[in-house]
Amino acid sequence: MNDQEKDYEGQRIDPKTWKSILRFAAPKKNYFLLILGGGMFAGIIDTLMSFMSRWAIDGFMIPGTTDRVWLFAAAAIGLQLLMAVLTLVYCRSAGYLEAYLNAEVRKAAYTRLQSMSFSYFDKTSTGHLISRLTGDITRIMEMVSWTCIDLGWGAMAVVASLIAMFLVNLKLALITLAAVPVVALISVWFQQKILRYQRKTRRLNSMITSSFNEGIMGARTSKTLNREELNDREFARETHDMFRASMRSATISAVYMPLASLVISLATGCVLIAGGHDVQRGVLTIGTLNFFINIGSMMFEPIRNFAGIFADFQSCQAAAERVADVLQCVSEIEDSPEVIEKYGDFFHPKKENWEPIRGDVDFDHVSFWYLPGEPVLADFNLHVKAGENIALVGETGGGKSTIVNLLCRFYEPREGIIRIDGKDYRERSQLWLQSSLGYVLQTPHLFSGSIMENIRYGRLEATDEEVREAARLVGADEFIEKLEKGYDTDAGEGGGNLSTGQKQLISFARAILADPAIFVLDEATSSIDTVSEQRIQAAADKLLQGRTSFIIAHRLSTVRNADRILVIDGGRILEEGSHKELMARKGRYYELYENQFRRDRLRQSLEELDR
Amino acid sequence: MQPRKGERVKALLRYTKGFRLPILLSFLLMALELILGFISPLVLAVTIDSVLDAKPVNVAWYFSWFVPAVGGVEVIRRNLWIMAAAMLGMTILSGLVRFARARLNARSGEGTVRRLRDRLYAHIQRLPYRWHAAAQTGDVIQRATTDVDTIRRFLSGMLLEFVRTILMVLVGAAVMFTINTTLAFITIGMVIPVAAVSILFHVRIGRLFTVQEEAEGRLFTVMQENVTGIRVVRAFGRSGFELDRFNAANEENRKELLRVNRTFASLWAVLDVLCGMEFAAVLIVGIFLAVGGRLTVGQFTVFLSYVYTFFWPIRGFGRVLSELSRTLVAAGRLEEIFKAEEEADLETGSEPSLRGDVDFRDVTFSYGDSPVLQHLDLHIPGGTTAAILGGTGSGKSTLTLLLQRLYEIDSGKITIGGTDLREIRKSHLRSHIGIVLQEPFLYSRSILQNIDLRSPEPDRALAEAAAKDASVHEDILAFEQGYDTVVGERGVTLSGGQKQRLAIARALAGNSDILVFDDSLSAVDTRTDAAIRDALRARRQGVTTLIISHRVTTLMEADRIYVLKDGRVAEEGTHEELMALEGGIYRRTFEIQSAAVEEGEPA
Repeated sequence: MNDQEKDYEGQRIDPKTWKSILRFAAPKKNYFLLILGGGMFAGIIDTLMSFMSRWAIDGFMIPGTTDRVWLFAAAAIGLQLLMAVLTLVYCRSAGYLEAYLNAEVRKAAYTRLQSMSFSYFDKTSTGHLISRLTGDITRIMEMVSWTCIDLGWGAMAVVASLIAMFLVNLKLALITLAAVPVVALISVWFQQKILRYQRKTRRLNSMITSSFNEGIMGARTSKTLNREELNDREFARETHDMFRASMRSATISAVYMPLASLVISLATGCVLIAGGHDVQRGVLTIGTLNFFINIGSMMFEPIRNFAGIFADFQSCQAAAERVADVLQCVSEIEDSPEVIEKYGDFFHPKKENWEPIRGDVDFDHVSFWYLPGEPVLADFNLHVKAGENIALVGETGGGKSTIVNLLCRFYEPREGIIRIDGKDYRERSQLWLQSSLGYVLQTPHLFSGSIMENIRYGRLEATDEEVREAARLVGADEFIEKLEKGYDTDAGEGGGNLSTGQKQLISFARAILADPAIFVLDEATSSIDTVSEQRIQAAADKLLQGRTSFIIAHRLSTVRNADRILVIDGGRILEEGSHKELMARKGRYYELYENQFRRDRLRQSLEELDR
Repeated sequence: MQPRKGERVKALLRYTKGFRLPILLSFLLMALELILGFISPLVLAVTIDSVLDAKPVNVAWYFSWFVPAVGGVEVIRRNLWIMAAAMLGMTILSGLVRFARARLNARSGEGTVRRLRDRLYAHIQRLPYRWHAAAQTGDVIQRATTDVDTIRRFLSGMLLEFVRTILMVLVGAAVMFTINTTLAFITIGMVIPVAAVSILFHVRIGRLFTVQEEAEGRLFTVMQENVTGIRVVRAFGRSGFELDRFNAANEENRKELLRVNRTFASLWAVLDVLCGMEFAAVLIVGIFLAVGGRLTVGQFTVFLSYVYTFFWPIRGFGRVLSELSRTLVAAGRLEEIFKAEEEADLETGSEPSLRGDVDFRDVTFSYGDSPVLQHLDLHIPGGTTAAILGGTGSGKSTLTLLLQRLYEIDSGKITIGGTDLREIRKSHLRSHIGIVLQEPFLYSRSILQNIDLRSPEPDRALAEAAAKDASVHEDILAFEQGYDTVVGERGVTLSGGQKQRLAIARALAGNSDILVFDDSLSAVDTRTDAAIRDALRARRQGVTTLIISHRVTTLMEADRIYVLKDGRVAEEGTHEELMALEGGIYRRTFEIQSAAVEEGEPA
């Protein structure tokens, strides 16, 4: 997973990446225009304001008159008020755009994920996926929305200043202009340098974080090995590196501004000499000279901003690539247009066209591999009659989970056909099948919210009474009633306050409420106490009655009760039959059973000890 | 509990210890930078005024030496390059000061934080085990990273910004009043409303931010739950429902973010109005003053450039203040960790051989209110193998913690070779007792370093020998990079059994006098378990071994077996002796575990 995330070391700005993200702003083009336009207008006003001081000097102070000063006052106040209005306009627009893009891009990415096939989630770590949906999007959208202002303002401030300069005085304009490319080059060079150090410090920072993590998680080990001093030294090396990188970055920044000021100051000095003599000769007004002296430093800000925008986009490039990837990801399993036409998609199912499901399952010469050349299932055949209970046993990696995943159409066969009720399941929608499935995972996953809500997840329109009935059926009501808040107890944070066995029972209740035609159960390998196990077994028995079921079985009781047991190994059925038949054969099943028996006994003895 | 505000301020000050001089120096340089910044426009003003007419120029009384010094107005008029050079000189000087200040500032800021991090790390490592057992890792890490970073940002940026603003108002006022009282009043008078608006808005924005962050937190939770539970979502065909749920949270976050952004927009617009009016006022009043002969054109340009630089920092003053209060909260949160007391006397006491008898006598111990060991007596002869069988709450793992003095006993006495544990140097004790845990911790380093952790330069031969005895050598060689394979958080993930065996190799490499296996063979299959025990037997010379397990086959060959129940020894003896106990716990456990499949079949 680490390697995969490292691929996004976006060094160069890739317009394609940005296009795929920024196209979400298309419906709000107007806001973009408002921001850009507002920024540009502000740039113009800034230039006009420097004309105002020129007017004040040349128009009133030098001649020593206050004639029509009210016009000047009106202009000065008017321009400032206009500026404030512009600020309000473009800031509000940028603020709106930021919120809009955040919400829209997140929604698009999230929606995309809802219909992705499982192969995608297998390849992408949950943590990374979440950080793309959260932090990455926030960062990009903040940057995009607010730099727009700088973009408009900066561009216009430079252009307007240039125009103003050339209109006023050609000679002085040329002198000032000479400094612009130098300052621009310096800015770009330094911003790039700073960006590089930022990346470095960020990397070092994450190392320090994981060292802290290690220092805390491994506290006992460090103590027992007396590693405190050694750990300190190693940690100090990391903070030292961090210090040096930060110092370098700070030094670079510290050189940048004075250097740029120096260049501007040089230009201003030349302006002063050349312009001063012109003033003495009476061909230049004092106000104009003052205007040129100030404009140099006024133009520096937008130039610096421009270089900054470039660096901003660069620093967000990697994040943008990650987000663009989510937005563009293609599901390995897509319903065909005809299927969607008839059955609807994930969000708009056409339930009126759905055929009821009986639960007849047929694997017909099915082959499957996750990686080419490493087949997990090869020419696998299996026919399960509606209502039959199948137990899958065998070592990890033998293909049990794959069979179940194929059945649920979380993956599709690479070769061969899977038929449900005699029809290739690809001819119906994923949702049609998956809505009729009851699926209980090895590690029960509960959502935040009450127990009531969690059970109701199985059938959203179920009444409270129906939810209680489901809980009663699986024997979960007993412990739920005993909880202080009963069904309103929060199952949050993955159900942290409930035991694994309790969570399992709740997930059973959830499944039974859904009243599925086909039931899939991946039994927990981790030990739960005997009492919970008996309850779960009883619950499972109820669930299985009259339903097609596939159980990846770890418990002896489950295995024994199955109609048919399949021993899966190397992607094929090694042994098949009832418990009695297979035990009599003394083959692989017997061996597996014996091992499981020992584990059960060990656990049982531990419970005995605890008693 | 957050420490009181005064304490938090004190804590923040304490962190800067050792860097206070550079910090003060950077303040001084900042003042110098500001003064230079205020003087530069004066040079320009002299130029403008002298160019305009040959009257003696007096921009400000303390600057009056300047014109005579260069030779009078006429000289300046003829040699304008002098003024250009003076301006350039000022720029270079203030650039140098600025550079020195920035470096000094970074050095003190980053240096403080580096030391803070080092101290925090060292402190956390030395906190007693009791603290670690109760601490929430995520929370501690959050403090060690986010809170430290808040302090870093404050020290290397915000603090200076704060000082700059205050100094600027002071220096600025002093300079302005010497030039023109009226304009100075107009400028300084505006400081208070601008600062007040900034502060008031930031208080409000701070509140709105909290609300927005909460909304964002809820949104992120919805997304996180959806992605982690995607299998459940899909298995129940709940994509539509999940989308509705997401939409609600997404809209709420959008709404709150919009509210924050709107407030910001209003803040900036209001500030623009205030500062804009200020600028206009200086322009207009300046005209009247100049026309009335009470202000020269040069002085006017000085004021214009002052107004321009003056208000930016003041506009941001509210942000600086809100940042300060956030920093204080962060400091308070760090203080909570620093206040916890470190484990004392690690390096005092004697260093006897630990190969003697291990003796627990009348030991009572409890975690808080819940008693764990009650008057426990346990005697393990030196060099023998003792096995302990016990249920989940029997206190068997507590024994190992007590043996290494990770916890202190409430009453009773533990001795090794007759020496009271409390008289033995802790570091000596710990380095000579090798403990293998059920869920061992691996560092993000190479396998080699993980086996020989005690020195910076691991011994390969020693590590390999240990790995062979722990039956993990073959596994290690199967990795592409063998012993140099990096494991742990930043490396290869090992299986539970591999981890346990690696931890055993680690303990063996330590050449301990006492070896403790705390349920550490549970993920290892029975055959490997036996192989490891054989290797241990061959290796053991005078090493006292303590095996804790509930797998009877692991325990039965021990010299002596103890059955722990409710914090006491309920049964003890050899396997045969305990098997002879009719109705004994050990015997029952043995019978259950060794039952054959056929017998175990239910009717």
